[in-house]
Amino acid sequence: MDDAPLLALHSISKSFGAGPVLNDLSLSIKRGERRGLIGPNGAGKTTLINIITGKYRPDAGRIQYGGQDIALLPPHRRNHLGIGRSFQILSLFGEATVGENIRGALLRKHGLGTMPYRRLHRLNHIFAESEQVAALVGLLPVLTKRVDTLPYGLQRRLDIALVLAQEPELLILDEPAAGLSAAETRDLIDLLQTIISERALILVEHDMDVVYALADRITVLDYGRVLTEGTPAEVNADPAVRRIYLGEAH
Amino acid sequence: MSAHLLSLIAAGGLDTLTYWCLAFLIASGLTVVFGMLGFLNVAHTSFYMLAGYIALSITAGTGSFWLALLLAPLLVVVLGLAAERLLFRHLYVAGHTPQLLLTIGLAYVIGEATQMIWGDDALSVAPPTGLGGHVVILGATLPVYHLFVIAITLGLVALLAALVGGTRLGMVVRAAATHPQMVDALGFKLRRVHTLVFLIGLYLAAIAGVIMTPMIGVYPGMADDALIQAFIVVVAGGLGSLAGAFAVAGLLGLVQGFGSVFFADYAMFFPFIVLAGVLLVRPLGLFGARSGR
Amino acid sequence: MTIPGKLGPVLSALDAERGRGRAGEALATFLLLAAIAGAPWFLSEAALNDLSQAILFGLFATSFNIVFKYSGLLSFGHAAFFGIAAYGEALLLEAFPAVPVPLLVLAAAAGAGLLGLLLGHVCVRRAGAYFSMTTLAIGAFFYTVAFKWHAVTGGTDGLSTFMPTALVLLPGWLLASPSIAQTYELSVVFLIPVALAARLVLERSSFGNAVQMIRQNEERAAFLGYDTHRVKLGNYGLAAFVAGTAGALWAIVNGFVSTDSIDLTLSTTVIIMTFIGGSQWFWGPLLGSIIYVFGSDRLSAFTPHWQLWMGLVFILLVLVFPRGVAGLPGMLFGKLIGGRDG
Repeated sequence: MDDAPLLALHSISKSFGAGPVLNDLSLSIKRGERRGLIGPNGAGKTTLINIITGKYRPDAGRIQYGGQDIALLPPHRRNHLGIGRSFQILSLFGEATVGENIRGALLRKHGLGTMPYRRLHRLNHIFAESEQVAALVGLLPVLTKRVDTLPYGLQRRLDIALVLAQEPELLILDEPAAGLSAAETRDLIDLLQTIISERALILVEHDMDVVYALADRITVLDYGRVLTEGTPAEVNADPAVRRIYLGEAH
Repeated sequence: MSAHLLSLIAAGGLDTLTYWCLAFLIASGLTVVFGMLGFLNVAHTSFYMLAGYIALSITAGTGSFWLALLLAPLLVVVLGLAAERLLFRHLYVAGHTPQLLLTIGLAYVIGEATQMIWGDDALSVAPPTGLGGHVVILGATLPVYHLFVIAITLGLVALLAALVGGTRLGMVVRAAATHPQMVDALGFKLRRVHTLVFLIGLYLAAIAGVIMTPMIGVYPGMADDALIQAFIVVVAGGLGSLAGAFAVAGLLGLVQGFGSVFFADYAMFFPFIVLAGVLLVRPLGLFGARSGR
Repeated sequence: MTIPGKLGPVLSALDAERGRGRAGEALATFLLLAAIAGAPWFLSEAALNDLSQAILFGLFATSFNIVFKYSGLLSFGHAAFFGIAAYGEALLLEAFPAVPVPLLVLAAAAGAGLLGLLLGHVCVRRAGAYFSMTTLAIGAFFYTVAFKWHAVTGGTDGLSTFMPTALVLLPGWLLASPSIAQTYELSVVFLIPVALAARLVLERSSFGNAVQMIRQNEERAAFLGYDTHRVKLGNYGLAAFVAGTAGALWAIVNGFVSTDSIDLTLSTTVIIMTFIGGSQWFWGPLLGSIIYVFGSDRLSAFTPHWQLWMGLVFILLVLVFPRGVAGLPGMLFGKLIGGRDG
């Protein structure tokens, strides 16, 4: 494993008027590393994700991916570099079927996303691959169902499937277990453990079971700064972390 | 300063103010309705046109311009209320595009009905006696009527400002503009507030329609012409911003008032130039909402 | 088209949802286009005159729907592309009477398409109301140019003397004093390929798929790597090209071009036509245009204010179908027509 960081953020600051949401935050992820990102509500986790993926520009600081400065790149260009992201609030193509959703993600991956002259139904290999991706996440039975008719749990899986279909180098999952029952969460953990493989992962989660199961290291955010960073065991034992989560005085 | 220059400034200044008043009267309702209700009322200037035609008929029938000034806007407001009750009400839940489409249909229908009732020709009205003359200010011979336009606009705006700023209802309206859910939660019928704002906007545009008849007459295309101007004021000012509409109306007035001295031939293009200029510097309008990134 | 192995059921199932009655759709399309092509053989000259108008405005309305249905954007100044191509064609015919007319039509249409790409760059950045208003302002601007630039456009008098005595179809093949049927067929020769090609791109290609994905969820599409601005722009340019084709043909068919080819009323009328026919189907606007033009002809026998009735029908349709989806045919034939959106 290459030791140079895959993703490096230096002194990132961002505010939206009232006060800083992110404050002089630095973070780096190595290739293949699995990083959990936790913190209380309002700590800035989703804003950080939005900055990494290009939805927002930082007010100050640098972002580098694979050694390249990406601060000026729009989201679609960052996706081309290998950053894939799922959404905390489901973001799907509701009027289309599951298969069509996955197909859309795959077409872009293969560079066939915007061909005016390429007839869709000639692209058999894309159809085959979308079937495989669906099977991987357990959505094969609903391949031809319209997305907005699916139950929440399956829609969640599709949200993740769309990211996975593109085989990103850096996989960012924003609260993938949000709204899932305990059983569904266990299924999700099993699923993620099998399919993450060699990818780098940033996992934002409130559900600590998921984080402990999947992360090598955890970064704890509080008020837009890094409070602490370490292995799951270290973080779990850290009194500062306990304080912000459980209010325990020490 | 030469007398000639002074008189030019006086003439240009009056033109500026007149234009400013009329543009603001027409555009204010459009932008506020967008800000509060979220949709563009394309039929807004159709009501303005209707007021002009109705005023024409009243003046022709009764001989009194003042009666027309009093009644025509009120009639238009009643029609607006009818439209709201019969048509818009059904689409509140449907979203903005259907509402926009409805207003397009309404504008179309009002345009056709107007031609059906009053015919295709452009018609004109003479200014009421007493306001038809000229007065000399700083060496420039200026129409008294323009002063009247400015006076009535200032009067109406002052009255409205007093009502909105000083009465309880006005307070509710102001609150509804910025915190609609709160107003709703406190038990005020938000729907009624919106309707009131909508009707006030129509009223102002209708006043403009009436007072403009001695200036430009009435003609079938006047709704379209006014719509384009109003849109430019609204977009350049920032969608939903009354202050923006006020500022851009003034800017347009300035460009029109003084620009037409030097570039009379291209006066029709001034609004577009102003729009392009403003959007270059502020893509969302002068006081348009800031987009975060 | 044979589909290998176990992909067969997957493919047909995947397409089943959207391609309900694909064969039925193809047949309906064929019948419609065949009827249009064959019209000179069974319509009176007066009716053919109307249809001539109707199909060109129908093509124009189709181009509006390309932006509305597929990109979800309501273009308020679409007449700019139609009008500019119409004026352009008139000027080209006057300047180059010996050049084959098909080339001139393509040139005018291409010009409109290019303008669409240029203007679209400014317009499609914004969505919703901002887009509609920017397009309105742009449309109004070009109207003002047409109105004022008397030397080139003839102002409100328009251009009327640009038609050559004989139209050059191909080098050597002239059409002297073309009849209504002949100019009609000329329009049809353009209309069918252009419309079919546009439909193919929008419904069957991955570009069209991208356009629709972006309409449904632009943010996700961007995060999946789609350059959403480029795609929207491409769609807008396509629409401008199709509108330009209609406008250029209009100059030839009508023999006269003036500011009513570029004004706000025209932009509004095509919106109404689109909704009367239903924006849900690709051919809806064309049908709507035919209904509008023929309806106006029949209605004008009863009242000179048929446009008022058309407007009222439109309002009724908006109230019944807020998303403009199924139009008059949908309202009258309900379930028979079916389709995805209600």
